Amino acid sequence: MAAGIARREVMVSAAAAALAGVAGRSTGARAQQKPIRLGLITPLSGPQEIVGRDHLAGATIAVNQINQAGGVLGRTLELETRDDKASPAAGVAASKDLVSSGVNLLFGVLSSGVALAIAPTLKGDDAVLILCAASANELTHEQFTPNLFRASDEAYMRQRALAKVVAKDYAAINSWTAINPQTAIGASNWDSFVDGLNQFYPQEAGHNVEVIDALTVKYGATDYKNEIAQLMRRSAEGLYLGVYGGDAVTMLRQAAPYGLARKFKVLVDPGSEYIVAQTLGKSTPVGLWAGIHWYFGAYRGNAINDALYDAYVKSTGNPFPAGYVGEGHAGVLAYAAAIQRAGSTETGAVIGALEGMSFASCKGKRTFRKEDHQAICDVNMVQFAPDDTAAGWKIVGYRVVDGAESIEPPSPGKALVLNTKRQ
Amino acid sequence: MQAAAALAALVMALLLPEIAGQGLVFLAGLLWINMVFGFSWNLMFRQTGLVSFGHAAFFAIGGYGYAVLARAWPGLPPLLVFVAAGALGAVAALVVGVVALRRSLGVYFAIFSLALSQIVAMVISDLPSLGRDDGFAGIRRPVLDLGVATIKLAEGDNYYRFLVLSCALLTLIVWWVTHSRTGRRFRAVQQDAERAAFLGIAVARQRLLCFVIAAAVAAVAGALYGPWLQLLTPELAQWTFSARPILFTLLGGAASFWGPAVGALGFTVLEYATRTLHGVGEITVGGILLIVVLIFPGGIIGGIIGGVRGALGRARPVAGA
Repeated sequence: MAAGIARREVMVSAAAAALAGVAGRSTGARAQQKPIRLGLITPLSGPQEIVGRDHLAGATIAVNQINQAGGVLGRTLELETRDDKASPAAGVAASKDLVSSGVNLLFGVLSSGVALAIAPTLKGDDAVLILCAASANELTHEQFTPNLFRASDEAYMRQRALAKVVAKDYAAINSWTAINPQTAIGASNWDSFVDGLNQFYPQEAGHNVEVIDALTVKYGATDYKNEIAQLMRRSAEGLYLGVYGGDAVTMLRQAAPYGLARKFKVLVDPGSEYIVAQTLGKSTPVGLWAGIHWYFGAYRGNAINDALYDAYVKSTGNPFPAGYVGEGHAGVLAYAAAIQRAGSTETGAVIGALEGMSFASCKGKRTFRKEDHQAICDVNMVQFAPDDTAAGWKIVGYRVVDGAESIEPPSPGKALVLNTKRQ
Repeated sequence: MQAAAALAALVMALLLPEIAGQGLVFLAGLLWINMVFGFSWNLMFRQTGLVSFGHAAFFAIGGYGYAVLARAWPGLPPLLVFVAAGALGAVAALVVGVVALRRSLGVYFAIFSLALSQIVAMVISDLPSLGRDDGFAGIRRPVLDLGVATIKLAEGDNYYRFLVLSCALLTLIVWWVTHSRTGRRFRAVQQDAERAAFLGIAVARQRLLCFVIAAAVAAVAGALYGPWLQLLTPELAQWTFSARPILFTLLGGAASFWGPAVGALGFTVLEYATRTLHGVGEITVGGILLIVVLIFPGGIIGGIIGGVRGALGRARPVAGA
């Protein structure tokens, strides 16, 4: 089991060992010592519970796989879960509760607000946190702390990757606009996307692109008719749906009678995963692109991907695991690899092992940058269309972008500076 | 006896980090702040009969006020910044109260206060300098320069102890106001405003004064909350946060000064005990709260007093909330 651990690069580590076990090559090792406890912090009640359950499902599958393969350092893994209710105060309470019960290796966290609240407490509590979804850029910039790592993509990296895809696939488009929520993350996502448009259109399409000022609406708005009318009058050919998730569903429903989806040549949603298609069904706009943490279909043949997908479908019956399932799974694999590498579960040793470490996951290799602890990983996108099945929608395409091509240089402790700013 | 019990609670609160883990200490810090927040709401409700559905507005004003001042002028003495945050809450209440309390009471004032808190939440959500919906991050715990000694509140449990002592001081202030001549004038207004006016008490002014004091105390509680969590979000001004002191007071017993403290303690214990019951925790807490309120309309304290009286064979109806 320990044979593949020698090299610094591409550590096969416990993740592969787990899959070896799943594939029937179990080491037969029995954990004889106390289990290694990992603390999962994620929303398990309230409106975000559905995402928290995805985190939990992925993490549980990873723990089972690794334990079946003999555990890590001869010890089994054990999951301790706490509900952060997507509230900063509950998140800090959850983190401190885990720390005081002896769990120093934490992961999960969906909301950037919760992550920003926990981050400053980690050093004093001698704990490590691996973020598995929270995407605010500040977490690896001005709010950087050595005890925090992020295994999932950050906002800047993802938005620029989306821009790279559209620059390549929709080279004929000359102008873009957006409808964004009035939140800091909404503005920062759009700025990052524009940053990518300005860089990748000249590179991929050989021409500059015009950016028409974005419309902003209140987060959680229920009436988009004015904005829809304004968008219908715009000359832009590409539309960035900064209002994602439930807001995007509301907006697209109201926009359907106006033919908004047909007016634009391409619609890009930065992060709704399957939510819009699952809700709209047959009304899903043709060709809608959505950012997703992990699309299983893009990694068929990757043993970790296939084992996770099979285990998920077997336990839930749902053939479309959300990207958050993959992120919860990756959080456990990252710790398994780091503990194996460090030969210890002590905070300092695990931080040392995580820095610069590469590990295999359901979406291929991820590498934590030593400087700012951000993982360089693939960015995934899926494209939808309506169809005649009971679900009413299908996936008609996907793209995988190497995060290294869209990520900024590390600058921990300093705010992110965009290459170009919106006019 | 109450003073001895309060002193014992204070000593226990200060010694908590010696015996409990970080998780409990953090929750205890939130509990002390919640207690003060509850005391400030009940000062209005119990003493002058004012019902506010938007008390969180002042908590948020104090929290954000402290955070902005401390960031803009890091050289200011921290104690002065905490006082300034309280003053901000007081001024806001004065401006609002001068208009609102003359024109509306009862349910009208309650709705007015609710609207105020929603406005504060919207303003916070819209201002980039306050972090909008993403929150005001990176609030530092200050360094106290007491002349003879310098205390770094960011180190160890220093901020927790500062929090306990500050909350104790705020409780003492509310206690003093409640039991002073001013507090008795408030009580007279609550019991019969017309008669109080006939006796020469300036009713509107008393209500305004009580509102301003309660807002100032809530604002200081908010200011203490910022460095404890090191992050503030607009939810602090939402109606869900305003509901907390009401819940604490009704659960503990509105008729007693200590009602909000007992209610906050009961609520925190319930939440902590059900923290691993994912999915059923909130139903369990809600169910238990419902049972408590139905069985003890006078809150936990009212129930205990009723129980003791019953045991002594002198059972009398307990004053309800």
